[in-house]
Amino acid sequence: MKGQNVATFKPVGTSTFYESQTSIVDLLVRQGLLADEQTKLLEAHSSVRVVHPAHVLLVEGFISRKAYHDFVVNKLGVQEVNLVGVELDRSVATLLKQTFVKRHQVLPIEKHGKTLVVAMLDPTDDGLRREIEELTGCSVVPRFASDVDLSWQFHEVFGKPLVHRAVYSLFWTNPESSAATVITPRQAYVLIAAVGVFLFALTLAPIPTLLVVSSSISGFYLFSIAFKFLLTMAGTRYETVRHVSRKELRELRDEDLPIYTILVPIYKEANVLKKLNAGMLRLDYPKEKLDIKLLMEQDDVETLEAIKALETPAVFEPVIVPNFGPRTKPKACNYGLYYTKGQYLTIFDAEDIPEPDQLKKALIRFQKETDDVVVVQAALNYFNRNENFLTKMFTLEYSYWFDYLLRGMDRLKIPIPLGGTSNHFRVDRLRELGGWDPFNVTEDADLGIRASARGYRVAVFDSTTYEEANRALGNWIRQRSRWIKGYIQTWLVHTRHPIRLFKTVGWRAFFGFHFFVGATPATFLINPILWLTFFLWLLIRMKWIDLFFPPIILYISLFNLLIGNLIIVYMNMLAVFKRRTYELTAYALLNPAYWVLHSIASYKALWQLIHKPFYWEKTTHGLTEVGTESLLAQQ
Amino acid sequence: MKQTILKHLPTYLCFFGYYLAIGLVLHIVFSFNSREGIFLLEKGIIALYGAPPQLENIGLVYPPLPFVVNLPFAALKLLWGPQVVTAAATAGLATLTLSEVRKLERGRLLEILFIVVLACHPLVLYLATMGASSILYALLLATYIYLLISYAFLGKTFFLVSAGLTMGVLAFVRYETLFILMFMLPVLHIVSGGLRFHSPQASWALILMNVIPPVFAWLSWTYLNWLFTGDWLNFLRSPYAYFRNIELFALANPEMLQARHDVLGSLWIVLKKSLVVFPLFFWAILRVRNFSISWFFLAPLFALAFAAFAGLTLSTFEEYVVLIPLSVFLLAFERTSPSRMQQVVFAVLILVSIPLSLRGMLNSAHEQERQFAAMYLGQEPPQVFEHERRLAAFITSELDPTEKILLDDANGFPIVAYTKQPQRFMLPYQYMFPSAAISPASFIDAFIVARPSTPEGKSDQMNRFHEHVFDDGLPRTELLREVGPWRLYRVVNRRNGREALPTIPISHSERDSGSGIRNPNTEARNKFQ
Repeated sequence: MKGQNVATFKPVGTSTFYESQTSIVDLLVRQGLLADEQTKLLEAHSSVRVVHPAHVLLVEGFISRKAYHDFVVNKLGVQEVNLVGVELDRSVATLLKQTFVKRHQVLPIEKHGKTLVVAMLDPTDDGLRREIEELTGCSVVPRFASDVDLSWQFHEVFGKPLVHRAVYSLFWTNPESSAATVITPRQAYVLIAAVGVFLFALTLAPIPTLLVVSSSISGFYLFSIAFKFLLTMAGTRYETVRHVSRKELRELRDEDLPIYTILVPIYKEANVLKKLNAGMLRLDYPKEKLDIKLLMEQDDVETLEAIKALETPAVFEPVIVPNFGPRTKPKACNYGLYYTKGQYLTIFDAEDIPEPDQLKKALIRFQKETDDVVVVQAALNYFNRNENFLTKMFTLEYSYWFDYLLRGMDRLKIPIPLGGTSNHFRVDRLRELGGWDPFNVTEDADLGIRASARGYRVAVFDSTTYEEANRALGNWIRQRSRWIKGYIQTWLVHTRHPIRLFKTVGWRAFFGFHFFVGATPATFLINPILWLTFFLWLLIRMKWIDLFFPPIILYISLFNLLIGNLIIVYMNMLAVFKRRTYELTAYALLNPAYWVLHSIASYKALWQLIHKPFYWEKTTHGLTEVGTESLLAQQ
Repeated sequence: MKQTILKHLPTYLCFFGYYLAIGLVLHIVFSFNSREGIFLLEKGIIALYGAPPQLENIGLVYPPLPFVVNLPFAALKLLWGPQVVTAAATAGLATLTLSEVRKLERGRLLEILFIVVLACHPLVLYLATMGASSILYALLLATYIYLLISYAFLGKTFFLVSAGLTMGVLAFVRYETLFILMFMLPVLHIVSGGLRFHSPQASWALILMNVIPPVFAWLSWTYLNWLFTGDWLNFLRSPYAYFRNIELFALANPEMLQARHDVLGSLWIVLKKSLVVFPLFFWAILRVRNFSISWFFLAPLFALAFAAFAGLTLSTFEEYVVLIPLSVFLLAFERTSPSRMQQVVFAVLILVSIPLSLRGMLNSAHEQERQFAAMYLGQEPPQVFEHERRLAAFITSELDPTEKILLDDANGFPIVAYTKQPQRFMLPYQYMFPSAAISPASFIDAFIVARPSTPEGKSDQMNRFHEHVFDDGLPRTELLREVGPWRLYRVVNRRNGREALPTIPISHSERDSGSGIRNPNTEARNKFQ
């Protein structure tokens, strides 16, 4: 042991408070902390998971971490060690093989001559102790460490190579799909050439040049509106289509279900842990086949401590991502992917409340689709929709996006940029695709497009995950600027080889991608310029503006202004119908004010793309004052 | 979707071909042109070929969509273009009607009966062949109600959003959409509870979805009015304003005058005409199992009654054609299957609509309806716009193409349409028009004026500016041609070297005594004579 944080683990001998031949499970049963009938279940689940029963106790919620800790430390009197932030001697920590350490939740932490101090989740396991003694040739002094502490040290000791891969794997194997290079030299040349030509033309013939610009913008808006209208109408036409029937759900047998991994990236969100746990507990899926991984950062001591202090049984396994590279969600997810046991995988945010049957529905959707479907996206919506103006507008936007636009894209086979959570993957295909891009701040959207660009499909299905809508303006701007920056990154990445993309995905998906992923930030960036021009013209009627709006351009612009805006607002109004949140209908009329916020966020995004392209603007969760009880009761 | 289109395409094409053939024969062979059709096309031509060419030349007074749908034909200067539009729209209405008929459990007989109605009903043929905007109104209104009902029963927002947008489009076809909306608002609120909307918020959302598109449409229209004319309410305040003209015509009709401001009188007129045009509608509405939905179907009739009450409708028979598809939609909600006797009554009610409508049209206050009905019975078609055609032919063949002719095309539009050369005219859409009308010799080479005693002449701006201009011309002008109610005067010696044409001695026989105000121009002219 070395370094300042090093604790001294003195060998004090084995506790005699428990009979050495009795397992922890029996002790817990005797103590009344575990029911007798649960023991068989525990045994069965341990064999399914191939891990130590004590680990199963905690990750399947048989007992709370707090209760387990109190029992082992206070009742049995086993000395506890805190491993978070402690620097271990690697030669000692690696005395046991990684697989052994992981499976048995143990870690050698100190060696004094022939005495080895071992941190153990179950320090009462004499069999395990003897096995370690045989393997190391030392006498073992067991100490209790929580699974959180063990995980912290395990990943610190063994995870370094993997975290490097998690960050750079995509960049190493397929650099053209990685946003690590914001703009390729070729793209830069094209951009410089375009700017050069524009400036040259502007100098040579300013009015015709600006006329071309105004025509292009008008045409772009016209197509953009028409495209969204088309998508929405396709979405409305098939909104009542049920991808999975109740009968199909009933026919699923638990024994046939595969292991399902759920990754929950979390950072400094100790306040939402209970909500998260409640959401996971309600999932209609056999617990022994759930592999829920809470992906945390090493420096997030607050959340780590909160997990240890949880008084309610929890159903997740903490995975503490070693500190390396950008501290982003995709990096954490990639890292989590290396430890994924499931055949299928999904991601939830900490505050998410998925519909209980979502995993089963996703499985059935996969079964009904062809093999080229690599990911299915559930709808996202908000449980705190009526909290304030922002949450109302956000709910309208999300309802429209997930219930109509994405359905339309699914119908018309246009590449779907995945939403932040509730995207369910086939794990083998996800690995084949290279996982998430840690340099892209909307790694989910990027992954959806990458899948399409490789000839795979992204589909949607009718299940909803309820999230917390952002209620604070600053927080909203941060989140939105990240999304818009990510969309620009995604667009830049996938336009590196436009001809190749066109050939792979076809003309419809190609234009769909540009008008959905490219046009979204572009319109937010252009909007303020047009608004300013319009209001200036209204106020002082500058005649020179007329030069750039000859009749045909004027008519298109007027159509965009009058009919286009109506269509976009109107399409947003219908968002409430599927979910029957009728009280929000009139708020759709306030969309222009909401678009102003989007434009502010988009300029921030553009600025960040230039200065801090990979910076992950953290969205604070848990700000809502709305409880989830009513939603949970409804479900 | 593609399959549905392919399934109904043969029906559509058959009706389209049938209607178009009749329309073209009437237009090309018999020169029986629709007043509104030619008006729409003339506006399209001046929008595309005027000086300068710009869409706002359509006038921003009448709802714009009928002009817009005729623009492709205006671009080609095809005067029968409006017939193509109305044939296409009527074929759409017929296809929608028949597709719904086929869904009913009444067998082949019902389909045959409706094919007969759609092929032979004089009002259907009238709408299909006359190039007027009424058929667009009927088609969109029927579609709107169809979509709304579909939404109420199937729950797909596709139908709701389509209904709302149809309502928005409808607002660009007829201002009367406002009356429909006024009726639909309370109906939507009352009826929604009985359908799938059980909360006030749901009802409110439903109303908003129906109201927002037309409201946006009207706001857009006022904005465009302001943008191009400087007056937000130009379409209401213009001398050519739609409702102002309608009101004038309505007041000239004793029946409508009587119904004005009389609730029962207005309802009676609408009821009477509905029974004449398609009596089956009332049979269907009385047999419907869920009475609340019949309110949707009554919307067009209440709108007409309201317009009659306000004195803002011509109350022509063509406005009731929408009852034919609506009757079919209603039949889907019949309480019980009809007995044999009821089926006979049913067939009789369908077939009797043909002679009843014919009789109604023969007595219509609207001249074109009377003429069409007479033609339907085998009479020789009247020559519509014969004078205007002749004058246009004269202008085209005899005048120098560079000569600018002033004309108030509010009524003289057929002359512009038949010449197909709007750039030869100085028309009210041009900002120089008022100056040129006051002092023609300074701005133009010739002008056309209508006889003040005729409907064309009453509103002619030249007559307003110069009291006796029709009879006496103006100083330094000579009468070049007189055709029917029109006179073409030419400014003398405005240009050197142009071809001299024979002039006509001015006849004073039909001079109006007028108000007695002396026109200095007339006095000056008389002095010189």
